[in-house]
Amino acid sequence: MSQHAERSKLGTILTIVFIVALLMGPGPGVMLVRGTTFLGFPAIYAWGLLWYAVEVAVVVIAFCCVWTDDDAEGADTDSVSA
Amino acid sequence: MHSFSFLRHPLLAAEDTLGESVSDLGSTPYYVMVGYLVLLLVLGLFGWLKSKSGEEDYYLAGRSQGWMVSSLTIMATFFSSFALLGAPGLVYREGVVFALFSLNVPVAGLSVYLLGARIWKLGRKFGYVTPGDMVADYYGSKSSLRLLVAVAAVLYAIPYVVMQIQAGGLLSQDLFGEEYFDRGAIILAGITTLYIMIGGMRSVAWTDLIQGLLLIAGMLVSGFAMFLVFDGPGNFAEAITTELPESSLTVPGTTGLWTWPMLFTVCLLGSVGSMVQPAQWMRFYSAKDTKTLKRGALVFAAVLTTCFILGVMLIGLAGQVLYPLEYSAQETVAQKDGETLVDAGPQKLDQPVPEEFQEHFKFVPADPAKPGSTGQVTWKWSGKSKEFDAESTVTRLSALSDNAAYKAAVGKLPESITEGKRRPGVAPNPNVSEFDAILVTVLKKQLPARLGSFGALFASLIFVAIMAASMSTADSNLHAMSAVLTRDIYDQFIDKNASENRRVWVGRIVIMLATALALAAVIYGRNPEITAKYDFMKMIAKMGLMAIAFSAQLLPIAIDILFLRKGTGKGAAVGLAIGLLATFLMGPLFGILADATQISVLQDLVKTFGGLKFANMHGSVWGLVLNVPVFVLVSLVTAKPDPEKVRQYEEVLSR
Repeated sequence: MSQHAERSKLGTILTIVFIVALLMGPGPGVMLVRGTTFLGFPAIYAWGLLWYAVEVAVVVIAFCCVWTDDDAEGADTDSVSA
Repeated sequence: MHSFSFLRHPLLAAEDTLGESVSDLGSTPYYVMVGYLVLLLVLGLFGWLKSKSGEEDYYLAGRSQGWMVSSLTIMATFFSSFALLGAPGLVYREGVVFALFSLNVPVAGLSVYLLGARIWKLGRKFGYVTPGDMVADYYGSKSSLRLLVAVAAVLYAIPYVVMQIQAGGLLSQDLFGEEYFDRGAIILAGITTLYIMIGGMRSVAWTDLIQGLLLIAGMLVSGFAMFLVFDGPGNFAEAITTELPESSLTVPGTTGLWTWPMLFTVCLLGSVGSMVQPAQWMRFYSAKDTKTLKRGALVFAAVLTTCFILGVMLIGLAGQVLYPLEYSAQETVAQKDGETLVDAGPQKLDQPVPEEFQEHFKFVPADPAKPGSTGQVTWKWSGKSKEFDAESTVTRLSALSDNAAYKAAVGKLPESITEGKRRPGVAPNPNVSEFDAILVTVLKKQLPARLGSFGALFASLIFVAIMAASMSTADSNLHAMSAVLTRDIYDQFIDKNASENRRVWVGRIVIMLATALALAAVIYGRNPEITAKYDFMKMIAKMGLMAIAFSAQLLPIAIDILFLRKGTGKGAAVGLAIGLLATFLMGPLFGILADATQISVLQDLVKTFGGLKFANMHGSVWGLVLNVPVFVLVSLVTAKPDPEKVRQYEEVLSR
């Protein structure tokens, strides 16, 4: 599998994970939270921390492994006036 | 079970014993703030010295901003007084549920790269300055689309500037006294205007750099400060979980507003809507390269989310422990059909209200002089109440009169409070001037008490961070609005042959006029009659969310140009027009217009449109529900953009 295809596959996986995190964190998934506390923390806050970690991890992985196409895009790009 | 006893937190008891010295920060805030404002003016001057003549330099700093400046100016534009005053204010009012709002930040971070890099490529290739430049050029629209994009920009920018100026007033009021509100607002507006006018984008970006660093530090430090106040994270968590009422720890929060559809739509559309607003769009143009935006996205998602969820959100929760909310449930003493006014309720109670209830229970009889007037019973209680027996108290209050309507109204009170059928009214603690003031109140009163003069300095620096957050967003929006109105309105419709120098000066005048308008709105908006009816005029976060609903209407166009390229100019224009109109009609601004004009047709329409909201969701949804299908349908039957332009775009974006 080429590097581009691998990146594309990883990008798809990350997109799905991010959407799931969004649906679970502030989306309908929040209705799964039962009770007011979890390990001494407010349960909703602990829930938010969990999906915060997932969302940030997705962005970090995307930064390191997926967003590589544009590294060469710099100030030397041709430009024309509008 | 609820208690009517107004418990005072032990930390507040300590505050009382220390007396005035606790809330007195001395002259430290003056020195720190004056130093900060002078620094801003110096940076503005420096930006002017480094600037070159011409619009591209004034509006985009010559498209040369590196990743550090770009990241921080994008962050500082995104984070405003909403982050440092509004968000803790809403957590203070609604409870822990609003902390989930932090999860919108990684979505915005992703947008910095996914939308920003594409906008940068097109801006670089075709020399665009405003969003309207790109939209009009791609769709081949001469005027209508530019005009509509400018309208969306103004509808977003004005409320956003209003709330930043409001924050300056609020900060001054809580630090120096109520009479300082106007002065604080004027100083913030004046200095911001001055340095934008002097140095344009360069000054804005450099001041944003300092302001961005300050607000990151301020957000994190203010959360950390709460651990100091409560003697460690363990005690802090324990205080929250044991002392807050259940409504503050669960969905949908104290007032019942934050159901999951509202949270979800705010996190998704609010964040992306903020990223396509003109000031951010222009920041994408002004970046040096796409690597800059890639790094910016990472910093944005990782650092800023942390600042929110582990920083400033904790202040709101601490506030609820330290300064419990005041709740009230109100029931109408109803008049049934065919009953006389006397039947509808007593003019006075048969027995006096028992002493232990006097602070909490109030009966207001109907006014015989006013036809249709009804009586009311109100029940107030404190946020940390846990020991009140609703049933026995209602029994005792019912016994105060034999009137059936009165008894029925009192009998409904526990239903409102305990069964959640109707959410109680909520007000800040009497020691907190308004919800948005919770951060200032907590820090001003707690830090000097815990850390002495170091605490005063600490608190003063966080207050400067609030100023920084407000000014950095106000400057970006004013600057972007001046670009939009100059290039998309003045240049297109008023004077097509104006020189670049003249256009820059027109932009400066726009900045002055927009600031004056925003300042007038802030001062007019302090009218108690206005704030009582429209709490978005008083609550920073609500005004911010209202503004974002307008900029989010640019999303279908942005997605079409950057990813799909299937739409047409007419489709984009009609969709955007209808989206903006629907957002206006379904939002609070239409209500204000109807009230101000007293036109009965408008007032009826406000009720009609309010009734069309089939779910509790962010205001942008109502516009997008019409915007997107209209855009698609009109695009199916109208002429496509110039194929050569589409090909050029595809070529640039495929690189």
